[in-house]
Formats: sequence, structure tokens, C-alpha cells
Amino acid sequence: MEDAGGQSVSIEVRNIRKHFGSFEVLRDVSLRVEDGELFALLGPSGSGKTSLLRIIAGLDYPDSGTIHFNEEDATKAAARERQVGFVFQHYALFRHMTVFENIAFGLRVRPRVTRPNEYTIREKVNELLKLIQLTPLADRYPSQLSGGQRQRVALARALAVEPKVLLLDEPFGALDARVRKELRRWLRNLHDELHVASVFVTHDQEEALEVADRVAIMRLGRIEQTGAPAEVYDSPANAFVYGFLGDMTLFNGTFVRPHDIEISRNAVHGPGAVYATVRFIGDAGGLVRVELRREDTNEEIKAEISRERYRELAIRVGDYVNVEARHSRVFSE
Amino acid sequence: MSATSRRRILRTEPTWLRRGLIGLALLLTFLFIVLPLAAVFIQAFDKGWAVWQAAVTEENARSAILLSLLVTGITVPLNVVFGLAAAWTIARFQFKGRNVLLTLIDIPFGVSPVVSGLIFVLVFGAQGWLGPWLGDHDIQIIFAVPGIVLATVFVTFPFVARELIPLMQSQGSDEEEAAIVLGATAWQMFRRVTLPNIKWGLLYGVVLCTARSLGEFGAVSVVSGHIRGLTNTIPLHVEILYNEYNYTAAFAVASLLSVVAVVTLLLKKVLEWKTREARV
Repeated sequence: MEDAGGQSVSIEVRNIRKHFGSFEVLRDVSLRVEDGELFALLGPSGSGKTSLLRIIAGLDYPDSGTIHFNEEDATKAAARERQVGFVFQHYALFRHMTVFENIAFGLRVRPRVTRPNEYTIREKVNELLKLIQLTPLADRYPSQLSGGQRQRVALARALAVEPKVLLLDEPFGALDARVRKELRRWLRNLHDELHVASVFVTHDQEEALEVADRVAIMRLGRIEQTGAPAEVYDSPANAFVYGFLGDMTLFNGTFVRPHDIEISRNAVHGPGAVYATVRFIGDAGGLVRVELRREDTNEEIKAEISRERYRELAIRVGDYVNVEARHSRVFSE
Repeated sequence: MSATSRRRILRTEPTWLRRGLIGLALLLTFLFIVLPLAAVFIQAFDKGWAVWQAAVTEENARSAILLSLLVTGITVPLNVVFGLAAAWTIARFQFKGRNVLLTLIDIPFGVSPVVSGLIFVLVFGAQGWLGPWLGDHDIQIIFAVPGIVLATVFVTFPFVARELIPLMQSQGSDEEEAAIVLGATAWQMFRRVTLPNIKWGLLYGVVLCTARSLGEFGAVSVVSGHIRGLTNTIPLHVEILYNEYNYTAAFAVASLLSVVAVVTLLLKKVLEWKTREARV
């Protein structure tokens, strides 16, 4: 797609606070999304990520703090002046308009002076239909589309206005697992083509880590950590981030990823190793999940081992094994 | 007894009971709805088409019809505006007093129409609160057309709002927000997104509101003063004719209202079906 002249911008959020009633949704949130970056807001429900996205879009206003697009203060600008593309969680397609008219909407409501003529609108919409591979469905109504198709129409509609910034609220939240994975990759490729600063909200850590250039992990209205996926995964700032980005189990008072738990039948007993009984084996999937109970403290330990290793060990429920941790982390909180 | 076996027993009511209940329902419907409605038309045309036509086109009847149309013509647009504003406020915003507003909108449904009429007499009548001031300025509301309009607006106030509130609540504000983010002005949003989504519900409210405006008797009766040719609406005219033992004329004019009722019912069915479609 040709660069449509809408120059891309950076987004900066400075010290945003927001409360609904007595509930503080955002507590002093600051972040910066660089020009052309795909940024994920990751957090459990109620962490304030959607509220933050709506404030960036101008659909809600902060109690204090400012929003800047390219260093320019946009805090008081109305939503319709901000030139953002917003993809709603449940798509919010106009139910009484065809796919074509949905995509054309943003162009048709422009003031007469800047409104493109009918021919240009058609060209533009057809181009977007091609981009989302839905050209044959142009005359369908939203209710006649599948979830994945609606999602793509919502995205095309947002892109039609050549937004400076693209905001997506749980873009894959309502889709089934297979379509999710497909669309995820598609969005990543599309973003690389468009090169527009984009922020998407998700509660799925796998999605955030796979798709985004950078991730902010939110909890209870605060940002716990911001960084590239590898950065936050490998050096989490605290136990919450560690736990949210992957499974974890408590071992000798430290946090360990289940795949970092080593199970052996060695009689040799190294420092930090303990004896445990196998309580449960889940051997469906790529990795085998093993639940164990320590002999000395009766604590539960979760482990994940490869199928190969599982065959090698030939463990059964009730077996007595040696357990140690390869990497573990201590967080002071 | 298990749930399934009980359900089977429920489904297999004895035939005589099933037929008996259906028969009873049909009989009651016939006795209380079909028969009276038919009686209106039979009575109306009792003395032939010419007499019916004369009764309906007679001068006082004509002025009653015109007045009813005038009152309806003012009431319905007003209630469309009020209804839209009220529904918008209640469905789109959370605020203190929202439930109070919701209850206030329902008051006309709960209050007897006679009381509704009396309220206006108490406020605008010669002995009422504003009576002296209105008298000084030579403005007449009670026993005049403005009073009839006020009373009708009051009685029919809930129809449009009540129809739109649940519809707008179930549709949510996502599409409207999407329109705004895409650059639409408030008016464009309303015209292109809100209105098309609620149009069948709105029309349904308008149909009910129209039928009630044309047919309202109680409240209008109190404020109208029954001045022939001036402040008589169709229902009031029917009553006068009836009280004068002019049955054929009374039923002839009443047949007009009955036609309105039947048409309303048909429209209501069609619109209910369309609204349900829009809600999905």
C-alpha cells in the first residue's frame, strides 16, 4: 500500500491518572511509543489497559496527565480531531451498512473541502478490500461475516482514514485459537508494511511477546515493566511480571519456570536438590507436564519436560525422583 | 419423578384438556374483542353507507376529526424529540438521578388519565396557580386547544422513550464511538449510525403514540370543556353523540377510531418484527 501522506507519529503518555467513582483505574502511567513501533499493553482484566487506550484515542479523558502526538499536546483534542484508527474489541461495525460502506464511512463524513470524490473513495475502499482479502464480500452485511472477517473489516475501516496512530483493543480476543494465530501474523506483516505507531491491548502474554516490538505489563493501573519481549521475559522486574509472562512454580523459596525444573533418577544428591514423589503426569502436547510433591515439606512442584526426556526417565505416578532447578529467581517485594 | 418424565407428562396433556383450553381462549377473544369490534362496524353501517358518510362529514364531526389530527400532529413530533432526548440520556450516560428520570418518564402510565387532566386544570385553570397571570395576559390554556395538546403530550410521553431505551441499551455505544473516532460530527453520527439503528423502534413508538393521541379520552375530557366545533376531539364527539342517543352517528365516528386501532395493530406487528431484526 502506498504511503498515504499521513505522516506517522510517536505517542507519549505522561503521568496519566484516571478514576471512575472511587476506583482508581490508572495511577500515574507514563509511556512512549516510537514512530512505527508495534506496542503491546499487556495485563490481566482490570489492570487499566483498555482505559489507557481509550484515553489515547480521546474516547475518555484523564483526570490529570497529558497525551502527546509527536511532542504536540493532544490531551484536550476531541476524538474526531486526533486522527487515530481504533479497532474495537467487538469490532463495532455499522450493522446496517455493507462491508464497503463500513470501510468508506471515515471518508464520507469528511468536511466537503477535504472529502475525496466518489471515484477516489471507491478506489481507496477497493484497495483496502484487496488488502484484507475480502473483495468478494464487499456487499455483505457484518452479520453475514465470520469473526475473523469482521475483524479485518474493522481494521480496514480504521485504516481508510489514514490514521497517524493505530489503536487496537483486544484485537483477537473474540476469535478462536486458530484464526487468532493466523491474524496475529497477518497483523504483524501488515504493520511492517504500514509503519504506523500502533498500540494493542491484550491479556494474552504469548500474543504480546510474539507480535509486539515492545511490551508494557500493567497491573492495577500501573505499568510494572516496559521493554522488548526478550527483555521482559528474561529479566522480569518482579514476581508479578515473571508470573504473568509464563508459568511458574515455587521451589526452595524462589521462582522457577516449570521447564527449568530438572527431574532425574540420580541417587547423587546435589546442593539444592530435593526428593519428590510424582503425583500426576499430563502427556498430551509437545511437553509433558509433571506434578510432584516434595518429600520433606510436602510442597507442590510443577515441571515440564520434553517427551524424549520423559521416555528416557520412564517415570510413573508414585515414583520417587530427584528434583532440582536450573535457573531460579528471587524477587524482593 | 425425574425431570424428563415430568416434561413428557406436561407435553402430553389429555387431548380434551388441550382442546378445551384453546377453545376457551378463542371463545373469550371472540366475546371480548372480535364481537365488540364487529358490533361497532355493524352499528355504524346499520342505516347504510349514506348515513355513515353523513355522520362522519357532518360539520361538528369534521371539526372534531381536524382537531384530533392537529393535536396528534403536534404531540407526536414533540414526543419524538422528547423521547429521543430522554432515551439518549438514559441509555448513553451514567449519572445521579438516572433512575429517578426513568421513573418520572413512567408516571403517565401509572396515573389515571383523569388525574393527568386535573393536574393541568390545577396549574393552568382560572383558579389554578398560573391562572391569574394567564388571565391577565389573555392566554387561555384550559378549555382550549393548548390544554388538549398539553394533556395529550403528557399522557403519551412514555411511548417513544420507553420503546427506545431498551433498544439503545442493547445496541450499546460502540458503533457511535467508532463513528466519532472515524471523524464524524455529532450530527453525522446521529444521522448515519444512531438513527438507522433505532428507526424501527422509533417508528413503533410513533405508531403507538399516534394511536393513543387520537384515542385519548380521559385527560382530554377534563381540560377540553367539550365546546362543540371548537374543543371536541373524536372520542369526545363520540361520547356526546352517544349521550344524545344518536347511536348510529356515534358508532359511525367510533368506527374511524376502530380502523385506526386495527391499522395500528398491524403496523405494530410488522414493526415488532423489524425491531427484533435490528436488535440482533
